[in-house]
This record gives sequence, C-alpha cells and structure tokens, in this order.
Amino acid sequence: MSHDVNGPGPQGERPATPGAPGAGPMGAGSGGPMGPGPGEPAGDGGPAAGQEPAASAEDLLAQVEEAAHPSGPTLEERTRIRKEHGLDKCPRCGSSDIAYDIPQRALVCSYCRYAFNEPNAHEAFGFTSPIQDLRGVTIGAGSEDIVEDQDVVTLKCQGCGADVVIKLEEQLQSRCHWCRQTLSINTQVPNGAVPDAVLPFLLSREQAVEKVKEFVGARRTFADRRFLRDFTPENVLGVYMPYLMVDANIHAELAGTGEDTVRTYTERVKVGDREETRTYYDVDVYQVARKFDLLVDDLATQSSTRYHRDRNESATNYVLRAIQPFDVEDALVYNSNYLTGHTSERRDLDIGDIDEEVVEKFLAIARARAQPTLGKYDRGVKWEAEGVSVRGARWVAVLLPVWLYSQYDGRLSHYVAVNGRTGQTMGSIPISQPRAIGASCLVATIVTVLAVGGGILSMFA
Amino acid sequence: MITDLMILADPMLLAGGSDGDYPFGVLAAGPIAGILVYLGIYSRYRNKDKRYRFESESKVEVGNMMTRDAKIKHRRRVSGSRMGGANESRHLERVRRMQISG
Repeated sequence: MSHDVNGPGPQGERPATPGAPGAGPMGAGSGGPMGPGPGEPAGDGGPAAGQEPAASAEDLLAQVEEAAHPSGPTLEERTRIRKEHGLDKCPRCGSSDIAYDIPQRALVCSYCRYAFNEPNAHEAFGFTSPIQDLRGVTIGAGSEDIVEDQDVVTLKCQGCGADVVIKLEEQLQSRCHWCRQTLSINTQVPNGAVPDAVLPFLLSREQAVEKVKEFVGARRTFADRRFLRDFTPENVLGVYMPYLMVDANIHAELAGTGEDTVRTYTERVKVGDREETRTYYDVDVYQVARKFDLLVDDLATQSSTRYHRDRNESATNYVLRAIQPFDVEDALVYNSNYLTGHTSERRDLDIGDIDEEVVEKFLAIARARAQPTLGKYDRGVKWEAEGVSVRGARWVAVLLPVWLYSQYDGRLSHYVAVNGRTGQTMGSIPISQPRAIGASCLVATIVTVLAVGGGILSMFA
Repeated sequence: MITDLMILADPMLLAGGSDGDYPFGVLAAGPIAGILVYLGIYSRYRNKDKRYRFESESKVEVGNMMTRDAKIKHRRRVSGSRMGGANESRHLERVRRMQISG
C-alpha cells in the first residue's frame, strides 16, 4: 500500500504480501561463524542480570520445527516485490513519468503532481518484531546471492507491445523507444541491482554542493594546486550505495586477564652515578571473563566492491565510513522511481563475501559493550580470546543516498562524500607536498632556534 | 601516535634527563615539531583515520551479562602504570577466536 502524502486520494496497486510458506533461505556462506544455533547463556558464576531460564528440550525442538516450517510468511516472501516489470503508473492519473522530489520528500507524478511514498520498509518487512526472537538466518529477496548472467532484461512495453532491452548494470529504468513511456525494473532480479529497500535523499544537490565547497574551502592552504584548479563542486553526483543491513541476536564471550593496583609507592634507586625516584606498583592479577547477549539493530555493511574500503585501492573509499550513520529505520520499500535522476551502484558482494567482516564487527561491538564492566581494572585488561555465536539474523539489501564528488589525481580518485540524509561530510584532499614539507621545515627551524636560544640563555642564567 | 610524539617533542621532557642528554633534546625538538606539523596536515586533509564508531554508536542492546573475575596472583614492584598488552579499548584489534555455542 502506497502512502499518500497529499491527504485522502486514490491509492496505487502495491505488493501483495504472503506467498506459500516454506523454509527461509539461509545466508550464503552461513557454514562459517555465522551458523545459527539455539542457545542459552552458559554461566560459570558471578553476578547475572536478567538471565533467562535454560530452554527445555521441548522448547528447542519447537524452535527447530518453527525454523523448518515457519507458520507465517518468510522474510524472503515479505520482501519480494510482486509488481510486474514494466509500467509503474501514477496511482491517480496512470502516467509513468514519476520522480522523487527532494523538497516534498515523496514520489511526484510529472503530469498530475500527485505525491505519494512507498511504505516504511521496517514495518512492511516485519522488522518491528523483537530481535531476541530471531533464530536462524533469513534474508530478504534483494539480498540473495548474485547470479552473473542476469545483466540484461527484455521488457515488453504494456503501452505499445514493443520489446525494450534494459542493461541492468547501467540503469533500472528505460523509455520505450516507440511510445516514450517509462519502463521500470520492479522486482528483485538476482543480480544485485534491485534491493529490498531504499532510503531516499533529503539533501538537495545545491545543499550538497555547498557542503563540498565548505569542506574543500577549509583545506585550501595545503591542498594540491592542480586539484584546486580543477575543483568543480557542481560535478557532485547523487549515488545510491548498496549496503547489506543486518539485525542479529548474538551471544558473545570474552576471556583475558586484568590488573588492579593495590599499592603505589616510590623508591630512590641508583642509576649510574646518580639517584632517581621511581614509582612502583603492587598489583592483583585477575582472570577476567564476560558472557552476554547482544541484540544488534540495523548494522549496515558496504556491499559494492568499487566502494568497499578494503577492496579497491584506487580510490579513497574510506571516507564513506565517516559519513555514517544513516537513519535506515526510515528506509522505504524499493521503487525504481526513487532512483530517477541519480546513479545507483549495483551490489556485487553477497552475504557470504562480507560474512567475516560482519562477524568482526560483532566482535568489536562485543568488546566495546563489555568495557563499562571493567572499571575495577585500573591497569587495564588484556583480552586474549573472543567469540560470538549468531543465534539469529535477518538481512536486507538497501540503497543509501550519498552525494559524491570525485577528482582523480593521476594515481588515486579522491572523494568528498556527503551523507544524503544528514549532510555529514568527509573527504580526501590531495596534499601539495612542497607546501606541506615547507611548512613543516619552517616550524622545525623556528622550534630549533627557540630551543637552542633558550638553552644558550639558560647556560648564562 | 601523534600524542606520543607530542610527549616526545616536549622540550622540557627532552631536556629533562641528565646534563649529557641536554643537547640531544634541544636539537631533536625542532625536527619532531616539523614531523608533527606534517602529520597534522596529512590527517586533516586525507582523513584516513576518520570513521563511524559503529562498535559504540550502533543500536545495540546488551542483556544477560555474566561476569567472572577470579584473582590468580599478586605481583610486587611492577613498574609502569598500565599492564603490558592491555587492549580493552582497542576494539578493532582482533585476538584469538574461540568457538562458542549458545
């Protein structure tokens, strides 16, 4: 059901939801550390807060049975967009000329100006259900493994019957060359091009240009001169970046040693021909262990090789890490028309490809969340072993909006990226080495002169 | 790292040793200050160290926390205010992975 932003008015046809029940698909590569498993927190003493009673054998059997034969629609079924490819018409007048309008924050028909939105993805996909109830791994229809030979789709135009070929690597919409109607790819083709959800832009191109100008303007002094000469902030591009988003129900365990100071004292010790005061500590050494459950909500991971921080050395992809987070809870069910006027990067990494990276994120989260429990150890804690087991996870593919300015310096593509929702900006500006080295040498010289001058003066004092 | 270098660059610390160390401290202060300036420019322009701190800022609920703190030994006359290898705040550094269930 589309959401009318004009007040009462006609509603368009929207996806029907449930299909035939069946076992939910497991994430690719789930045989690794992401393997699902029912579990209860194992305890070995120490204070425990809110611990659930151990599940009985009947409960576990019931969970396994539920995972194998779920009673409701699976996540794949809830996320499957069931519209036909082709004409995606305005619910009011039937025009196929629809585009996302940033000021109105809605899809707007170019003919009748009717404004509407797709439903909130979290609600439509059932993501409002508690994460602690997750068991096993389920994935959205747009997160399925990529099939390489699905790059070209031939659509039959419902307006005139002509065959129109769409190369999905380049576009998800095309005009019929006979009747000029806009044809859309409306359901998830297993090639990574069509996600489950999209988070539309809130920041306009003009606002993004200003952000880029401001960012570069504050870094002009030591910027490469050629970069500044060629700097054209109006070339900023609106790009929808593919991310895989996961909710996860995790059990984490950490083990190590910690030290607590019980006494501090100083002693005079002889070093060579002089005496020094040294501080010593008497410490208690503890074996430290933490076991706890984590419910992770909307953890997003880049799923495009081209923009992945570790998979493309020819661009400064790391800047994309610094413009997060996105308000993914406001993502909408996918509709091609949100992408009109922007480019969208195709997802080319499967869940199996980023599985280990996500597990490492879970481990980092576990370490960060355990830190407040370590206040007793004033000398620190050395974690020596760590692990997580994923009881349940649900994945969806989502497109997130980024305004991207790119400039190539002959070796590296330098990006200035602007979060298309919050305006958070980060970038990489090539440095003018003569200027940076010159400034460093100048400071070094001044400090040396001051230090030597101070030393000479102190000798006569 | 920059903080460590700043400590090294402090002329008082460099000059604070014995009389024999004094000329080295004075002469090293300038080059260290120069290196610090270059690193500062590099950090501000290239921003390689900037990132979203997902580990502490993601929406996460923690439950069923179980703690175990067992004293295993007492050590006397330890120098240094931090234990060697302490990594409780270096969340992105991975340590030995243990297989767990549940």
